[in-house]
Parts: sequence; C-alpha cells; structure tokens
Amino acid sequence: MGERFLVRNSGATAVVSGVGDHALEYMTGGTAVILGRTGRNLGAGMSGGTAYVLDLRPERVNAQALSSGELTLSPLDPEDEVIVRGLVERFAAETHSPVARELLADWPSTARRFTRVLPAQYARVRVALSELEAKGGDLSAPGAWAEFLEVTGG
Amino acid sequence: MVAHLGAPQPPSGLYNPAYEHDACGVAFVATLRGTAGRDIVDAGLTALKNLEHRGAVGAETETGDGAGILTQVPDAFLREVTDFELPAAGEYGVGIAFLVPGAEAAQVAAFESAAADEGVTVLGWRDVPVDPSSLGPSARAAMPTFRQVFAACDGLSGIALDRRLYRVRKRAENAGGPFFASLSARTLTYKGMLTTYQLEKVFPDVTHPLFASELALVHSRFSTNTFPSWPLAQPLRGIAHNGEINTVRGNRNWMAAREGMLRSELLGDMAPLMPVCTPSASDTASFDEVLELLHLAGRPIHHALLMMIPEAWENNAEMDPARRAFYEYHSALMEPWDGPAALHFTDGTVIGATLDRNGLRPGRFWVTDDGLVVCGSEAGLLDIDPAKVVRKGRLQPGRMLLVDTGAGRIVEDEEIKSTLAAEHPYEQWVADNAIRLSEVPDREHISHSPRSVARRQRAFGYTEEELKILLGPMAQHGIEPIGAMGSDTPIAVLSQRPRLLFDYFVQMFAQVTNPPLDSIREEIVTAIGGALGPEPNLLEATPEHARKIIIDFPVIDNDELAKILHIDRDPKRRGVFSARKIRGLYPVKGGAEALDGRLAEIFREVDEAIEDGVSFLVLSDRDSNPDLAPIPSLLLTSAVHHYLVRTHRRTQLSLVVEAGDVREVHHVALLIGYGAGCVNPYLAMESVEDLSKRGYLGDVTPDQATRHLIKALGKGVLKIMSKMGISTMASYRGAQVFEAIGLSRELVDLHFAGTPSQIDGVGLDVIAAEVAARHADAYPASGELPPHQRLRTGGEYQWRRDGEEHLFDPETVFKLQHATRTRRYDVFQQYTDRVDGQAKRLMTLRGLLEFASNREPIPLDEVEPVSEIVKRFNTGAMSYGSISQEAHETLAIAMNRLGGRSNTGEGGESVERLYDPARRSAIKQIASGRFGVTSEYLVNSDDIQIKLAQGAKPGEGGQLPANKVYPWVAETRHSTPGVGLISPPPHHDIYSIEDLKQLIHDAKNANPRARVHVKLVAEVGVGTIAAGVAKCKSDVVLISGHDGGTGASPLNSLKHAGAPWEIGLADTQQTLVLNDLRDRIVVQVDGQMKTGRDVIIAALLGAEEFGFATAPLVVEGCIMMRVCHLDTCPVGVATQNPELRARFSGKPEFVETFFEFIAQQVREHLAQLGFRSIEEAVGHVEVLETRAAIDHWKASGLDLTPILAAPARAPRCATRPRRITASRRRSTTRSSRPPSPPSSAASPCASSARSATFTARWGRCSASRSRAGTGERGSQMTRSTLPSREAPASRSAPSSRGASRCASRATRTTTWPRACRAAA
Repeated sequence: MGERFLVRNSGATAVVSGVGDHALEYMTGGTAVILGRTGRNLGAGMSGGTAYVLDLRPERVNAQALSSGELTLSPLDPEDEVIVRGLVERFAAETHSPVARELLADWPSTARRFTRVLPAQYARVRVALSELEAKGGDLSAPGAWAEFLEVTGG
Repeated sequence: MVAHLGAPQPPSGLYNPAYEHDACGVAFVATLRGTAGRDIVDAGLTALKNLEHRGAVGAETETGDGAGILTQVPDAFLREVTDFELPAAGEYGVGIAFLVPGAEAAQVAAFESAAADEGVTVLGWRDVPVDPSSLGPSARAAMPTFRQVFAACDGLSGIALDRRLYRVRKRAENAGGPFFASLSARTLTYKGMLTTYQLEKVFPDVTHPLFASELALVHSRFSTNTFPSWPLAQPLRGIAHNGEINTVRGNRNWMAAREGMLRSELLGDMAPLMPVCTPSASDTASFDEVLELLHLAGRPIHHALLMMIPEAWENNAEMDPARRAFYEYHSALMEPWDGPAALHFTDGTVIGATLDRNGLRPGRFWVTDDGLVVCGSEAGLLDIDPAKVVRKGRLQPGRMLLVDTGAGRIVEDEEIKSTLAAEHPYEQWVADNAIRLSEVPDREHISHSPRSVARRQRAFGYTEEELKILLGPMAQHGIEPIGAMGSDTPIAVLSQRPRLLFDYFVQMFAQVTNPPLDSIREEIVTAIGGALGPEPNLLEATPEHARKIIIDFPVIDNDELAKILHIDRDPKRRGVFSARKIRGLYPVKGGAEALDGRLAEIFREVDEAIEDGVSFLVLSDRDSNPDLAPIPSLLLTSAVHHYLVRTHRRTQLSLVVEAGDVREVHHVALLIGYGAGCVNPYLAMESVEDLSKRGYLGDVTPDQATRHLIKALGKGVLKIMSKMGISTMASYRGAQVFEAIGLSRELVDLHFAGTPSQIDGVGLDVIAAEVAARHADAYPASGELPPHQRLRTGGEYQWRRDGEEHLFDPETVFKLQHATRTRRYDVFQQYTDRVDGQAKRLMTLRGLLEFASNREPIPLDEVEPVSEIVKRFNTGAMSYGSISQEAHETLAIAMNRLGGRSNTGEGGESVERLYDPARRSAIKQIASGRFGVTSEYLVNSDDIQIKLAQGAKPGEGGQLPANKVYPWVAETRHSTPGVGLISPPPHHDIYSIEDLKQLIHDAKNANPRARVHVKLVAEVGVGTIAAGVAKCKSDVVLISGHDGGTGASPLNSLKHAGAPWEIGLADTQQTLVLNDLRDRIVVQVDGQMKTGRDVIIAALLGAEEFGFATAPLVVEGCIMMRVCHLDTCPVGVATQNPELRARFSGKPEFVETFFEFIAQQVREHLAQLGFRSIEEAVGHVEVLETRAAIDHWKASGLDLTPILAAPARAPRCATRPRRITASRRRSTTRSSRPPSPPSSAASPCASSARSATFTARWGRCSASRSRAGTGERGSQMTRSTLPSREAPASRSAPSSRGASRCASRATRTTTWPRACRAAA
C-alpha cells in the first residue's frame, strides 16, 4: 500500500500485508492489522484507534510519540488476540492470502509476534468512559468534565 | 524567443506568467528485450491518451495544456524520411527546432553559425509534417514552425556528440537561435501545446510504422491557466515531471552563483554556454537544464538526479553508512530541489523514475513476462493481462526504479545507490574534511555589558509587548507563542510607526498546486542542519569538496559564533578556512545616501575578503553608537548575497549574520531565505537573559532562556519552511519564498532580486528614516533615556491606548454592539465612519482607494433591496468547537433568516441542526482533518466549501487539545471526548491540482445541487491558482485576506503570512478575465470586512459574494480579548466552558440587523455610483481611483495601478459572470424577480421573503437527498438551461478590441452572457 496508509482513519477496520512510511498518521479511531513490513514513522499524530503490527520494529514508530508516551506498545492481551485472529481469518478467507494462511497455521506463535500500538490518552479515555457508563454517569453534569479530564490526564 | 511560441501573456496588472503552476500525468514504457519496436511507441501513445484526465483544458476545449513523447532516435524512420545521407545510427544528432514564424531564416542562420564555430556539420533540415487542423485557436496562434535538424561531428557518437550539440544549442540560444524540444544523438522529443489525443494527429511522424524505440516517456500537462506554451510542454530533453519545485528561485540563484566556478574538461570552455538556466523558463525546465549539465559533464543521469532530489538521509539511522556518506558529500555540492515530484528521466539507454522524499506524487510500475516495463502516475495506463504481470509495485519516497535497456534488466534501488556510493571513498572524504561546529574547540568571546540592553533594545525598536508576548513565552517554553483573532493593524507600509524591514515581507505558502508539510509529525523527512563553507567546481568530485563546517541548527549562540570567527586558530583548519567580520553600521545623520554609500563600501570589503580567500563572512550590526546606526540585517544580508550572486562568486563563501534586530521566527526565516547560513540573534538572547534575571520567566535560568529561545526560533523556521512544502534548510536557504508588500521595485530589484513586489512602495530613504527614528529613541538629543519608560508599548498584537492602531478598538467595538443591539442606523454610521475613517487614515489598502467622482447618482429606490443584497453575505468558517454552540447557532439562525449563508467550519454539524431549517449552516466545510464530514453532512449542504488555506495561518494545520474536545464537540466530529484532534497541514488526498479536481468531482457527486467552493488565501500568484480552480470546475472561489481570524495560530503566521485581499482579489479577477474563465466561477472574498464601503470596493475589484467573521462575532458580544485559544472567553463566544457560555448575550436579531445595515450602506454607495445592483458593479475597477493626495510619510511611494488594472485582452463582458450556480441555487427567490426591482424601502428593512426562502430551501434539501448520485450530468444540465442575466443599460461600451472578440465568441457559443452579445 501507499505512504500514509489509513491516514486520518476515524473508524474503519483494515487488514493489510504491508505499509509504507507514515502509516496510521493522524488516526483517531478504527482498527488496523498490519501483517508485514512497515515504513518509517508509523503512528505519527495518531490519537485514537488501535493497530496490531506483526514483527513491529519499534524504531520505525514515530520517535516523538514513543518517547513522550503518547503511543504505547504492548503484546496482545487475550481480548486483542480474539480480535486479531478473527480479522486475519476473515482476511485469509476473502483474499486467499498465503501470508495470512501461513500465520494462522501456527496461531499461538503468530500471536506472540504481534505488537499492539495504542494511543495512551485514548486508552485512558476509553476505560474512563466505560466506567462512567457502568456507573450511569453523565459527562455533561456540572463538574463531570473537569473530573473526567483529571482522570484521563487530558 | 520562447515567449513568442506561447505564453502569449506578458505580465499585466497583477498577472505574471512567472506564477504559473503545473501538475501532470507522466508515464514511461520500456522493453528489456533489447530491440526497438513500433509497439513500444504505440504503448507510450496509449498510456499518454489514458492520462488525458490528468491534463486540463481551458476556455477552449480544443487547446490542451501540453502533451508529448520522448523516444530513442528512430534511426530507420529518419533514414526513410530524409533525402540526405545520414551517418551510422548514433553518429548523428537530431532534434526539432521550434522556429518563430517570420524569423525562421535568422534563427536557422544563428544555429548554423554556432554549429560552424563548434565544428559541427549540419547534415540537413527537414520540414516536420504537421496537421494543425485539430488545434484550438490559441494553440494555433502560438504554433511555431517545426524543422528537424540533423547534425554530426567527425565521428563523435552518443553522449560525446551530445556534449558538442549542447554547446551548439546553448550558443545558438544566446545568439537568438531556436528553441529545441531536444537535440541529441540518443533521444528525440515530439511535444506541444496539445491534448493527449492531438499529439499523433498533429505530428503524424510518431505514427509511422518505422518509428521505433526501446523506450517511450510521455507527459500530459495540467497548467493552472490557459497560457501554456509550446516549449513548456513536456517531456523536456531528459525528464518528464509531475510536481512543483518549491525552492526553484533559490536553486536558480545558486546555479547562477556557481557559474563563475564551473569547469569541465568534457564540455570545454563554459563561458559561452552560460547561463545554465534559461531565464523565464518553468521550474521543470530549469531542473532539466541543470540535470542535463551534470549528466553531460560526466555523471550518469541517475547520479545527477540523486544530487538534485536526494532521499531523506539526514535522520535515517537505518541507512548504510556508505550511502549516507554519498548523500552527505553531495549535499555539500548542491542543495536539494525540493518539492513534490514524480520524476521520470532517461538518457536514451536507461530510463527511470523517482519520487520526492515525501512521496507526495503517485508512481506505480508493472513488469510483464515478456520484458515490458510500464511506470506511471496511475493504474490503468495500459491494458495489461494480469496473467502476464510478473512484478508490480509502487515507487517509494526517495527510491528509484531504473530500467537499463542496454543491459536488458531492471536495476534495483539498492544496487543503484550502493554502486554510486562505492565510486569514491565518500565516507573517508567526509570524515577527513568536514567538521561539526560542535566539535570545534571553544573560543573566548567578548561579553557585552548588560547595562546597555535597554538602549540597544530601543535602537532596534523592541517594544514591551514583544518582550511580553513573543520573547517571554519563547524563553519560557521553547516554542513559538500562539494568539487568536485576525490581524487588524496596518501593514508595515501603512503604519505610522517605524517598522522593521522584516515587516515588509510576507511568507508565501503552498496551496493547491503543492501540499504544505507537517514538520512536527513528519520530522523524519526534514533537515534543519547543513554544511557551510566554500563550494568548489560543481562539475568535479574531489575530497576538497567535502571541506565544510556542519551546523546542526540554523540559529547559533555567541560561543558558536566565536568558533566560526576564530576558525583559523584550529591548526587543522588553518589555511583552509578563515572568517572575517563586516560591520553593518552607517552614519545615521547621512540618511539614505549614507546608507547606500556604506553598502557600496561593504561590497568593496566583500571583494577584498574574497580575494583574501575568506570562507566565512560575518555580517554584524553590533556596536552602534550615537553616530552609527545599524543597517537592517535583512538588507545587509540580502544586499551582500545578491551582490555575490550577480558577480557569480556567491559559492566562494558562507554568510553568518550577527543581528540585533532579530527576535521573531519570521526574522530568522527571512535571513535564511535571503542567503544567511546561520543567524546569531545576540540581542534577543541578551533580552531573554535580562528577562530571566529580572524574574519575569519564573524559574527559567538565563542560560535556559537562551537555549529555549534558540530552539523556538530554529524550529519555528522549520515550520515556516513546511508551510511552503520545503523540508530541508539547505534548499530553503536563498529560496526567497517571500513577497514584498510596499517596497519599491528599484530597491527589490537591486537587493532582493526576484522577489515579487506588486504595489511598489518605500525605498532606502524610508528605510533609513525608520532606522533613524529608532536610533533617536535610543540616543535622544538630550543624551538621556526617558526614565519613565524602558521601551515603547507596542500594541501590534493587542490594542493599547498608546500603541499601534487597530480597526477594532474599544470605541468601534462599542459602537458596533450598541448600534446592532438597539437597531440604530445612526450609531451604525458612526461606527462605519470611524472604521472607514481609520481605513482612510491609511490602515488598509482599500483606504487608499476612492470612488470616481464622475459617476451619475441614481435615486436610492432604484437600487436592489436590502433583502437581495444580504443574500450575497456569508459568515466565516468558524468551527463548532472553536466557538460556542450559542455563538455558532446565533450566526446560523440569522443567516438563514436573511437568506445568506453561515458556515459550519471544520467540525461537522450535529444531526439536530443538520435537519433544522432554522439552525443549520448552509455552507458545509471540508477541511484537512475531515472532522464531521459524512455523506449525510454533504447531502444536506447548499454549498460545500473545500478549505485549502486559512487567512490567519495559511499552510498550517491545527490542533484541538484534549480538554477542548467536550463530549458534544466529539459527537459532531465523530471522535472521542477528551482525546485531542489534529488537522494536518495538507489535505492528504489533495497533493496537486488534479487531485483537487477529483475531490470537486466527488463533492458534486455527493450532492449535485450544492455549489462547490474552494477557499484560498491571497498571496502573490493566487490568481493563477484561482484559474486552476476554475478549470477544476469549482463553482465558487473564495479569496481570503491574510488578516482573517482564527481561534489559535502561531503569531508569525497571524502577522506575516499571506497578502491583503485587495491584491489577491484583483489578481484573481484579472487572471480569470485574461483566461476567459471569469464566467465559469463565482468569486467570493473575506478578510476583516466591516463596512458597506469594504463591500463595494470588493465588488468593484471583482467579488460577487462577501464573507464576514470578526464583525458578526463582535455583534454577538466578542470584545476582542484575543484569548480564544485559552478557552477563557469572558463573553461566552469562543469557549466551550458551560459557565462562560452562560454569559453569552448575542441574539440572531443583532446579527440580522448588522447585515441589513451593511446592505443598506451598500445600497447607498450603489446609488451614489449609479449602479442598481451589486451585479452591475462587479468588476468595474474604473470606478475606483487612487486617492489623489496621500498624506503619509511612507505610503506616497505606493502604486496601486496594478490593482486597478482592467485586462485589455479579454472582453469587458467576461467580468460580468453568469452567476450560474448562484442563480441555480436561489432560483426560487431570484429568477422570478426582475433584475433590478425598485425598492420602496428607504430605510433598512427585514427581508419579506424570509419564510418563503426557508420553505423553498428546506424542500429542496430533501429533494437533493433523493437525487444524490445522479452525478455531474444533472448539474451540467441545470447549468446550461439557466437564463443569462439581463444586461444593464448604463454600462460603458466595451473597447473595440473587446467587442470584436465578443463577436467572434458569440458566434461560437450560445451561452455567452447577453451583455456581450449586446455589445457585439
């Protein structure tokens, strides 16, 4: 795919076998699964959404976002694994991608090769929002917003 | 000579052909099989025809912007069609001469004489068969005579013969010889001002069965206007280019500067071949000429290309060290030619393609099993059986695809670069010769007494405001401060105060034809450091070429400056480098004469320095005293730079500037843009140290303050560069991407050569007077500084009683609010009197204009009613998010009631409002972040506005911090609350004008009934961009002034980017009329519009619709606190904070009243001028005059005649647009009315048709949803079936020339406006 794959994505889900420079730039939502090589500067200005990258080389992620903690890199948790596996299976089924089939052949080791790329603030907000929802809270209530910002560090 | 063959428009008014842009489709086809064939040429021609959609046509559909094909020399074909003996293939050169009709004999003679001098034998000339029957009139009118020359030189062949032919061609060109599309033993180009389909019709040669080649390079051109010329078509001699070279002015200057040093054994004596770059050629042509020189002088063509478009090596840690060294070494020889580019090139054997470092142009390739390689800007170039494709891919930023037809293989990027990198021990050369400034041992430097800080600050015109608003924040945080709202202070030339020379220059920025960059998010492709030092002969490669000082940052501190000054103390550098300081001071009492004299003296000192082998010249304005004042550092730097460029010695040394007047990012950018290698802002540093010591910077130490300042200034320059799409400091240096506003052309031509200065202005005398005024402040006659005030107040950014004047001051704000809230027209008139009075006190360019006194007034009741005029009014694009829901909805309600239009801004529209006829915004904006842009949003629009730039910060993106993404804001933007949002600087689907064309097409398909706007910001050349926008089939083009408002913008953008709308609008009108495109598009204008007078002047300059932003906000309650970016707006306008929003006191009625009052004033002006409607007034510049007596110490040198120029070429009637889409949109309310209904309302009245308008519009919106998807065809039909508007009776007759043109047009088209037909 071209440079800036999924630029400004706000909700789409995409599976791709490789990307160029500046992939996922300015992304605010959605999900990306990258099954191959990335270019330099992945995730620059990415403030939302989740990416799962196979064999990610951290030096190819936007350096400023990593050093400032705006982006976090982590292994997949069980929930992620379900999501990624489902997407890769669908990708294999619809595209007959040999790469995808190969990856699925030994899923446990494949799963370990993935890195999750997640914007920190986005992650905190998501947690806070679901907690709020569970409590039946309302962000437009007086003081709620300030409290919300404090919790999420916004 | 070139000028005769197209480019028929010499500069006139504000139009200048130098500002043309193009962007195109490009492709090549090559075979690896080792034999030439007709099939390859056919494939090339097919690919060309499939690129047709990337080209463009202007007002004449049968005249294309340009198309062409480059092949190998088709030997068999040429033998067949010549009646003279040809030597063996490769031993003769051939090329098509573009001869100027009528001058053929003289041009041929000039060529033959040059050939004889070079020992080249002209074998014969062949008349190229041409069938011009399919050509449009403009193409035919400019068509040259085509003759093919055949030449040989005793047994020379291939590139050796080409070198000789180059000499002949260049010498002939210098002697009035013809332009050659190509002249080579290896390649042959056929091209012209054609559409892709016309190429083979016009030049039947290329279809001949014997016309065979192993490769074909084709190109289809899209130019922003309709004056493309035959020579400008591509392919050029070695390349075809899709892109834009943003740094071309600098690149050309540097090439001129190098000319004195050029030596080549292969090419021989260079003197008669100069200049390298043909003056007035396009950016691509200059690139081609330099590439050709580098190639012929001994480098493989792909090597030469990598010197000119290096990949982003500077921050790439993964790159192989040898390759890195290759780039680093060559960076010392040549600066990058920076800008978006897909470049295809060939020398006749190898053919290849590369992209710029940002990958901002598309490129794809396919290889088939029978050895066919196809590469081009898009898929679908050729119909290739997928089963035959053995490899496909895309070009990547900075990577190269190379096909070697000689060897029959593809050379991979890796191999190309490692082979080139291994050619010389570049790593060793760089290691042995280059030195980092940081590695040079420290040298002692003179410390200056802090006691004199205040005096020196006064001498350089520092203000308290600058310390507080600019320097303080930079020193504290290390970043450039931001501000809010637009700029409503006078431009420098109209300011009563002495202004810095820097203030007379504004930054240029990328819009439409090239994308701005994101220097923060895409820092990896930028490079802010660079190599300083003398540059030897470009055409050689020796270890000495690497002798450089490497700096990491363009702003240096005193220690670093001392290192440079004493560079020869380093034993290893002694005899290699030396530095000398030049004192930029002059006796202030002598005024301009003394300043001029001192500059001349400085030139002599520079001559001496060069003779002494000095490698670093430090230009310093230190040590002024009661007698000697500093020369403005920009003048000093640029004067020396241009003196050295003129004398071809510029590359023998580097310039370092030690400047006391530098304290803004804009200042540093200007110095570098005019040639400085690096800048030492010593007084700004001392000032922040002083601030720190005085406790104004919290716990920031003086040392930290300096570090922060340097960082803020340097990074800020990077951001300014990226606004223009430039990514490396090396290519920004000397690139002069600035426009002068209010500087005399004489001064500019001498010391800032090549800089546009459209309205003339002040010369050295005023500059000297401004220096003297500041100097007198520092050294008062009494000898004592006034004790009560350290510095002047300032008041540039915020109104101060004793500071700079603002159009909106407390009194105007009060009067405006009072008038609209109490509906008092008399108070409103006091408000406008005051604003217009200010304008006439020369705060704006429109203040310099007056209405002609010879107009016959008409009774007021003959003028169209207020209710008609208000329909032409829009409110500005302010996002829901930047202003509160209350403020946003109030504007929308008012505009809907009036029948005008409010604008969503970038941020979407909530569903409740989308379907509420009262609260919806008629204009839906599409900005780079695309927040809230959905199909539903587009379908429910009346107008779709594509924002390419914003007046307050053109070329920049934006950021909504997390704490402002309130839940309700997030909802309309379809994002997550509490998570920050970034708007990128460019639209990532618009990197070029043909991309814009695509987006417009998509928008029209999304909603065929909506008008599509393109929003641009005034800058030099905006007219040609507007012409391009018209050719993209946009319905409306909006020209915003530089002074537009903003919720948050870096201060340098707010103050120093873009031009006043008066210039941009006039340029747009003139260029559209010249191009015969004016009737295709509606022109809208905005930027600090405040009164009826502003509207009338805009209409007379060519605008049909008018935008207001700041004034309606003030009406709503804004009191110009300029804190929008802080979310603390005390009146609830620019905040999301619920507590502050509760204070909002605006009402739709106030806004309605404002627009009705404005409309009423417009009516009064119209009556006075004898127009019955705005429509009648549009474009009547002859009604405007420059004020006779200009009582201003600076403004007397201004020349506004270019603004008031009426293009002589095109018919008058073209200034009378059909308003196709506007009437289409309002057909329910407008077409049923007589054109100028008499109004009985003598006083402003509410629109009687309000409710009818709502219903009509609401009904239509629902209809449009069901009709979505009918496509462009629907809108086209609507267009052609619309009635044209009545011609006014009172119009002046068009010129006879115009009339005859009209006549010829009228016979051709039935849709021509009636006014024109009547005239004919």
